Amino acid sequence: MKLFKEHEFSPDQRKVFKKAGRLQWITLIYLCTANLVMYLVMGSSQAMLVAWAEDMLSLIPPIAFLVCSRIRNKEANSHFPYGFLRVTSLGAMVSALALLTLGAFLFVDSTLQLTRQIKPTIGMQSFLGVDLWAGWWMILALTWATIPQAILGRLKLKLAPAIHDRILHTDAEMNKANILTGLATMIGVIGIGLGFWWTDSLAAILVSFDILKDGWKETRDSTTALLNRAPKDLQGHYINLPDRVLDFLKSLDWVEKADVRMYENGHIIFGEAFLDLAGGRSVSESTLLETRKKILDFDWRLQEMIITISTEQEKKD
Amino acid sequence: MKATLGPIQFFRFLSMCGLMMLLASCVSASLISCEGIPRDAKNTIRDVKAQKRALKVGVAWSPPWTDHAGDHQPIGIEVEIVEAFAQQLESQLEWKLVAVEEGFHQLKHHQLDILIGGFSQDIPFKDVGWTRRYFKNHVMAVSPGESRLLTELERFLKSKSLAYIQNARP
Repeated sequence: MKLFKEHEFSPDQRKVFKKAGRLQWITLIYLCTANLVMYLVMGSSQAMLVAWAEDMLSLIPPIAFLVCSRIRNKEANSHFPYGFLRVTSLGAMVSALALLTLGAFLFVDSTLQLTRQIKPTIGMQSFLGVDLWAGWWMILALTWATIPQAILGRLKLKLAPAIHDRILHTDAEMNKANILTGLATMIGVIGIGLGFWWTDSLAAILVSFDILKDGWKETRDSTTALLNRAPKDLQGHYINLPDRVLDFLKSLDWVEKADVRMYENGHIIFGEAFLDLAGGRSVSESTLLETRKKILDFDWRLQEMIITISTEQEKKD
Repeated sequence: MKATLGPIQFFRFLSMCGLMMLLASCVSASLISCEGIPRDAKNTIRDVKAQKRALKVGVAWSPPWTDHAGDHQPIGIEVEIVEAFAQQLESQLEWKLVAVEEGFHQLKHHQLDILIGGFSQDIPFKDVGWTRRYFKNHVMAVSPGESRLLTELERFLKSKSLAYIQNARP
């Protein structure tokens, strides 16, 4: 059986990968401390509960990245002749579904809280001998849970394009956007302090809507990737690689007609080309191999190109 | 790609975090010094301190914490504590003997400000303002949204309640 040859990252890419891995470990440890702190102070505030839930969900992408990266580097075997590249799309979809379902649940829960006019009452809390209004502890906890996350997100976002890692990219975007949700929750808590009970529910609704939105976007992206849609870049725009390859093939003098299609397989792109030879000509093995090699040089992500010649029967159709 | 993660970058990351937290602490400290926060949603403390109305306290029966003498006057450890609390606030006090469930219903609808009844923190009534434990696992309940009332009561319970409990025990 022809097994898909394991893709090798360039040395630069391997360095980026290592850095990303280190950042994800730092993120995991940091998030554990942030989650613990948030849990200890959240009290009866709905906004804090939703913010804590969002931070708990933020644990999934780093774990998915570290686990999937290990799996996808495994060599193809007879059970899995195409290798394990798709595992990153799968990991992305699983974390997206978690975001989607929990976001939806929290959104409904928070809206009900607002409509049922449930008023949170926030009293005193004591930590390490210091007795303060619990709202101040919440703001401190939110500061710790928000700012380092945003910084980590910025650092990770710079690394994602080099290895075209979708999990890393979405994780980084979510971390970066956490500043807004942290701010919304802080305003919600201060609102309670000023006597406006509804700011808590409102902040909770906003933050849960943010989770829902992230979950929806990620589910859509990862599901379509698993359904072999045409390749896109990390920003979600279709890349023009198929058209470039098509133009190149059409420019060859021994090709009369050409057709190309491609799909993403994790961070790699697989492609197929269907050629009609010009006027009864035949093509040598070396020409085919050279053409294939030239095509594979178009983009580091393009790792497999299968070239097929159309048969007489197909031409008649 | 110039995203390096050497010791210098890590130090920068840490110092940025430190600066932000310092900023947040300064803002918090200046806000904490504001006497006004937290406020009551329905201005309970402000109104009872200004003698605009009496502090309405519901009493559910649970001796020795709450009890009533022959003439339906409430007595008990928690009753004494709340009496002293009202004295500190310099506010009037209005007692109401209630059954537990009715008491919580009235508390939720702001017909009562405080509800006492020897409650422990395991009690399953939600959507009211529970104090933190003040003696073993004992708590009191306040009307929801009244955060200032809750914090004043909690402060009082923390500093003064033990004396009343020790006096009551033989």
